Amino acid sequence: MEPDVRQDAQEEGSSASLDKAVALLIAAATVVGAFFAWRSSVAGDAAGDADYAGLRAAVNVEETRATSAVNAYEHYAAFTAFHRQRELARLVDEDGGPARDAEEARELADASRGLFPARYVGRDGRYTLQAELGELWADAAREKDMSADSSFADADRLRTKSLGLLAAVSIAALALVFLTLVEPLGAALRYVNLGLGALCLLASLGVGVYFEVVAR
Amino acid sequence: MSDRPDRFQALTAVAIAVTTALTALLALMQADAAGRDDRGNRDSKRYATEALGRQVAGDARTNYDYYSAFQAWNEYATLAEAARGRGDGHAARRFEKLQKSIEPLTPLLAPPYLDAAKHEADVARWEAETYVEQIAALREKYVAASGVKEAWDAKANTYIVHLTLMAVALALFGLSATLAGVGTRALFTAVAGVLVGVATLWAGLTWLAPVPDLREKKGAIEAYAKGAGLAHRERWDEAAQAYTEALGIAPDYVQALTSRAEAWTSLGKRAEAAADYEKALALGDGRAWVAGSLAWIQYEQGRFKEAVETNRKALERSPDELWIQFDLGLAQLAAGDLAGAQATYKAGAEQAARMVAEAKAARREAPSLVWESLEDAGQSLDGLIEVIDGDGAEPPKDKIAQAQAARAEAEKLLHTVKSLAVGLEYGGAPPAGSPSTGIGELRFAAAGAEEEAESFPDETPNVALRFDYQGLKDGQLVVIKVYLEGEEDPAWRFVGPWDQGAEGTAERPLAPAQGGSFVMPSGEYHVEVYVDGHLARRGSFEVAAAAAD
Repeated sequence: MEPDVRQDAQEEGSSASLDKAVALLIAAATVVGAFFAWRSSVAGDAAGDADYAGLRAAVNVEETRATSAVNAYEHYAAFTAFHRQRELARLVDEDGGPARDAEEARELADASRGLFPARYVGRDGRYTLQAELGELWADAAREKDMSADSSFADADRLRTKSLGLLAAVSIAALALVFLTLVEPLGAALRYVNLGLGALCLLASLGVGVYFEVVAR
Repeated sequence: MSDRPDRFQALTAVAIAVTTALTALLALMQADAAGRDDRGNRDSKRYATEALGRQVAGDARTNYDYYSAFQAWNEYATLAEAARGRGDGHAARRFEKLQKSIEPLTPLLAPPYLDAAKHEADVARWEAETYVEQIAALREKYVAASGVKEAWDAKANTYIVHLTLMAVALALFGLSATLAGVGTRALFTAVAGVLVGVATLWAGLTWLAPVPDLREKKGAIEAYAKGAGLAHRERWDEAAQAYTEALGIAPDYVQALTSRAEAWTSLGKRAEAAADYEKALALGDGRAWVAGSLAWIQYEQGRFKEAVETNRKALERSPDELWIQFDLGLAQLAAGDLAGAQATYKAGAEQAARMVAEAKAARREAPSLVWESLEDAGQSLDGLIEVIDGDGAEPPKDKIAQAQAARAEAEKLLHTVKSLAVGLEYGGAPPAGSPSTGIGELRFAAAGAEEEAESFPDETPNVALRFDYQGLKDGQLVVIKVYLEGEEDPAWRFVGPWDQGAEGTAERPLAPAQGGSFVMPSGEYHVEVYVDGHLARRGSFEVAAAAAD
C-alpha cells in the first residue's frame, strides 16, 4: 500500500502545482488584457482628438484662404480704381490735356488711395497681390493651427495603434479560453491547453508591446 | 467522485471557449469598421470644408478679374472706339493706353482667355482652370468619402448586432451548465449554438461585403473633374469624352453617368442621354431630377407612356418637384389622357399656390423654382402646340394621340398656367374672376411709325405695341411681358394700373428708354398682355438679324 500512497501524493502535488500555474496564467492574461484594453482605449480617444484637431486646422486653413482672398481682392479692386485714375491723370498731363481733367483724376485717385494697404504697391507701381495673400496666410498661421495633414496622420497612426492593441486584447482573451479549458477537457488535453494558453499570452504580450512601444 | 468532468459540461466549456474567441474576433472587426467609419467621416468633412474655402476664394478672384479688371478694360475699349468714331485721335490713343495699363493686372486679360478683337473674355475657361475643376474633384471626393463612411458605419452597427447575439449565446451556454433537466439543457445549448452559427455566418457575409471607394479608382475623379470644367465651358463634346474616360475607369460612377447624360442632352444626343440616365437610375440614383430628366427625353422622343411612368416614379421620390408635376401633365396630354392631364396640371397649380401662400404667411419670398416651373410649363405647352401646328420637331407629331384635342386642351392649360404665374407673383393667389376679353389683337409698329408690321429690319430702335380695348377699368392691374427667343427680359416688363379709360387704342414702346445708339436685338419676340392676372392676349413679331459682312 505504501507505494500507491506515495504515487497518489505525488499526483496530488503535481495537480496542485498545475492548478497554481493555471491560476497564475489566468491572472496574468486578465491583467495583460485589461492593460492593453486601457491602452487601446487611450489611443482610440487620442485618435478622435487628433481627427478633431485636424478638422479644426482644415477649417482654419479654408477660413484663412477665403477671408484672405476676399480682403486681398477687395484691396486689389481699390488699387485698380486708384491705378485707373492715376494713369488717366498722367496721360492727360502727357498729352497736354486740360489741367482740370488731370486734377480731377488725381483727386479721384487720392480718394481710392486709403482703401488698400500702400505697402503692397511696388516701385514699379504694381500691386503685389501675392505678397498680401502670403502675409495674410503667415499671420493666420502664427495664430492658428493650420497643419491639418500632420493631425490626420497622427489620427491614422493612433487608430492603427488602438486596433493593434485591441488585437492583443483578443489574443489575451483567447489565452483565457485555453486556460479555462485546462480542467474541463480532462487530463489528455490538459497540457495542450496549458501550452496554447501560455503561447497566446506570450503572443498577446508581443503584439501589445509592439503596438505600444515599437510602432508608436 | 471522479475528477473527470462529464461529457456535457466539457462540450459546454468548449462551446463557451469558441464563442468567446469568436466574440473577441468580432469585437476586433467592429472596432476596425468603426475606425474606418470615423476616417470616412473625417475625410468627407475635410473635402466639404476645402471645397467651400476654394469656392469662396475662387469667386472672390473671378469677381475681381471680371467685374473690376475686365470691365475697366472693356470700358476703355468702348471709349476708344467711340473717340475714334468722332475723330478724336488724342482721346482714342489715351483710352488705348489706359486699356493697355489694365492688362497686366490679371491673366484674364491675356491670351488664351481674352479675345481683344471681340472684346470678350472667356471667363468660363478662366474659372474652370483656376478653381472649378478643383472644386468638382473635391465634391466628388466628398461624396465618395461619405459613401465609404456610410458603408463602414452600417458594417460597424451590424457587427454590434452580431456581438449582441454572441453575448446572448454565451449567457445561454452558461445557464445550460447550471440546469438539471436534460431537455432544458439541450434546448438552451441548441438555441445558443444556432445563435452563434447565425451570428458567425452573418458576420462573415458582412465582412465579405465590399466597400467601394471611388477615390481608389485612380484617375476616375480626375477625369470627371476635367469633364466638369469642360461642361462649365459648355464644351459638351469634350466633356462627354472626359466623362467617358471616368466611366472607363469606374463603370458604375453614377455622377459621371448623369453628367455625361447632361452633356449628351446639350449635344442633342437623346438616345445616349436616356441610356445614361437609365443606367444611373438602375444603379440606385435616387435623385428626382435624374428621373425627371429621363422622362423629358422620353417625352421628346415620343415615348409618352414611358415618360408618364418615369415622371410618376420621380414624383414618388420627390412629390414637391413642381416642374416634374407639369412634365407629367404634358406627357399625359401628348399620350391622349386629357382628363389625367387636367387633373395633374390642377394639382400642380394648387401646389404652386400653396407654396406661395406658405411663403407669404412666413413673410418669405416664394422659392424661385415656383416661377421657373410655371415658366417652363408655359414654354413646354407652347412647344407642344407648335409641334401640332407643324412648327416644331419634338416630340414627333405622328406620335401625339388625338392631336387636335390635345392642342385645344394645351391652349386652355397654357392660359391657366401663365395667368397663375402672374396672379401669384402680383397678388399672391391665383387670379380671381374670369379672363378679360376686352383686349383686341396685339399689333406692332416701329416706334413713331404708323405702319404696322410683323417683321422689322435690323437696327430698329424700338417697336411699339398697339391694341384696341374695351371694357377695361382704370386701376386694373396690367402686366406686359416681352420674350426674346423664349426668354423674358424682366427689364422690359411693364407692370402698372390701367389709366387709359374703358375703351380706345393703346400704344406703348416695348423697349424701356435706352441710350441713343440702342437698337432692338434681332430675334423672335413674343408679347403677352395680362389684365388682373389673367392672360388677355398674346402676339409676336420678328426683328431681322444684321446682314453678314
